[in-house]
Amino acid sequence: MKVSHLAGALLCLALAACGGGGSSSSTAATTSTTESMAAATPVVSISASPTATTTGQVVTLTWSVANPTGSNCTASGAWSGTLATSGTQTVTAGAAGTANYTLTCGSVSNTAVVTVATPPPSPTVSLTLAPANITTAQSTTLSWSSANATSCTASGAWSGSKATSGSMTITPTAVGSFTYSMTCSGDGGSADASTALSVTAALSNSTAILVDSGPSGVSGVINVPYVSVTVCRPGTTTCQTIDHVLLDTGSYGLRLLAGQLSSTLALPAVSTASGADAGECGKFISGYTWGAVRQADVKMADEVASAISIQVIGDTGSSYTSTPSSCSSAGSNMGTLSALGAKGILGVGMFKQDCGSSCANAAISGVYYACASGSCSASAMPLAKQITNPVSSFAVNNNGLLITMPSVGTAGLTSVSGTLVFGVNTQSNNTIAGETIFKANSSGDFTTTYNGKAYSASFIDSGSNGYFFTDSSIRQCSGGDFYCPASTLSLSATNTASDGSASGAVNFNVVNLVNLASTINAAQVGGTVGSSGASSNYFDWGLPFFYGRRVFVVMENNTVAGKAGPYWAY
Amino acid sequence: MRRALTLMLFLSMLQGALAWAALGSTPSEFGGTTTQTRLAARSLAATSTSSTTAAVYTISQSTLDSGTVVREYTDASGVVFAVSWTGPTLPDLRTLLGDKFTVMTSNAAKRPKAGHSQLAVDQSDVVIVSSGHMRAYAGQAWIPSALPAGFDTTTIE
Repeated sequence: MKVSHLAGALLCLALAACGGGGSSSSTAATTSTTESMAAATPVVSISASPTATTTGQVVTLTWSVANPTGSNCTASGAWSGTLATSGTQTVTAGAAGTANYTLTCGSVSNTAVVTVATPPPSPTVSLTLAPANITTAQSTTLSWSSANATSCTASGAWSGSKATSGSMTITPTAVGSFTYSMTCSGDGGSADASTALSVTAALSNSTAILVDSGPSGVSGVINVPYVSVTVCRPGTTTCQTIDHVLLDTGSYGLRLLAGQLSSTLALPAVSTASGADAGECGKFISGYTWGAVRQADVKMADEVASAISIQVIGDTGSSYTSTPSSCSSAGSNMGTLSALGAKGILGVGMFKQDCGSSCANAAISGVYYACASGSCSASAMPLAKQITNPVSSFAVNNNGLLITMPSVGTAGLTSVSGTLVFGVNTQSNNTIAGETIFKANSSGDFTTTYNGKAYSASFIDSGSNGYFFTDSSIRQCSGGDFYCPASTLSLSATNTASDGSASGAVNFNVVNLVNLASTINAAQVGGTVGSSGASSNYFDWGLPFFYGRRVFVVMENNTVAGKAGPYWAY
Repeated sequence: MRRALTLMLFLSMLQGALAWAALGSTPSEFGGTTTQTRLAARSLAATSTSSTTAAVYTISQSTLDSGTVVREYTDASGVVFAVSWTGPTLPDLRTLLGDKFTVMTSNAAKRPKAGHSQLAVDQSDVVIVSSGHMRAYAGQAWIPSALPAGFDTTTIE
């Protein structure tokens, strides 16, 4: 090492010109040492960082000049201005392409080249709730989508990494307001979104159905489904709950025995268009009910039908004391507890009024009456004042109902408990699932094919206490129109929707009614609907049809599950 | 009330006696609620070669204001031997069934169990079938002993 130092020093001495040109090449120094000292060529150095970027991003330029010939340099190209001979400056990258940052100092230029790319677009994200306001009994769908994002993260009422688009079903467990937020990120940045879900307490939309021996004062009933109904003087808290009201999908509107109503209720009378007290005749195959039309708030579960017309059977008001002969001409008087087997009839079939437009347009004999001082004459009745199916007047869950009953074996049961749920496809507890939709015609009927014959006016009627159909080969019970086969019959029929859109077989049993134990109140019984010489079109699927099934009723003028009512689904 | 009559020449005895009649009786005025009365007649040819008797009867049809159609079947001597009804309201069965109305009302009491069923009476003196539900009723009744020879009750509409 000492040897080489010594050699360098000797070389300098020999050349006698080792002054400022230490970094110059030995050849330049040897060719013109004096010229180099007088006019050294400037060396311009410039660099950019980064050398590749995107539009709008910041680029740092750093420069210096060796051997400057002046005190200033000039910027050109992608920048401009007069600059010192050294320095640092930030610039913003311009349009996509190549940006040349040139610095000229004296006669020498140098250029820093920056490649500018188009920037990635900014991400977007959206969140939607459909619906955004639900009850604890309902579900909603949270959907999200994003653009220009590579990852999304949930926060707020949910959390974790999520796909950049998707949806999920939210079933709330509590009442409250819940905010769902999401941040999505990509090369172009990040974006946020949030949406709020309002969850309110669910109204109870279901009530119990009981098939039992009936109210006190009734004996020998079979297959009569009972519910409890609360009636109130309209707009007040003066209310009464009536138990053992017959649940009837074969009629429309609430009818209660006057003798079961407390006088404190004092339900107001409904008048005809002419101002007379309105009387009404409810006609059934097994008889008639006569009484007043009165107004009440009708409540079941948390559902309320406000100020609807109901029939008060056997009303003691002076206007209704005499039963018109055109009412009693329907047959027997059902207006007593023993004859009715119930304290009233809750008609919850497919129609909104018991009569409809024909009674609104004309004074139909045997339905609505204008009454004064015990004398009644047939009268028209506006739709809004007719006896109204309470379900159609509920604020929510008003498009129909679901009746669910447990199975009943051939031995029968002393009692059965079922559930009446209001609304169809409105809440999680009334959704049509695997059931088949059987469209009904304008009369509420469809077609049943039994033993090769099509019965075009068939219906499902919880108010009928058996299967009623014509089969002269089945032995009838003595003295009645029920069937008493020697042993249990296993039968089959095929139901077809009135528009032909669906059909399906129904297997059912008919047991010997008389052989049942006296304590049995629910059983698979049936009876005839006619003589072998009659041309009946009816097949009545009565209460035994409901055992072991979920049966939906969708009312007229409602479309549910893509099908317009009236229809049955089971 | 409008009343349109089509008179059948070979059954002139019915002229002026149209409208509903009580089962088992001669035709009589009923109510006055009909909006249309149609008179038709059929000659039911014997289907058996061993019989040469033709059943002759008339069907008069009334459409009530409600849309319910009522038919009465009257034999050549003017006796109503069968009636039927179909539509959204029940007709006045007391008048339509005449003295057989009480057979219908007393029948319910014979049932072995209380409740609400369809109605089917099949007795030697009268057959009554009533079925359906509110806003869709249908029924028919006839007197077996009064049927014209060769009359098939399954043809009652």
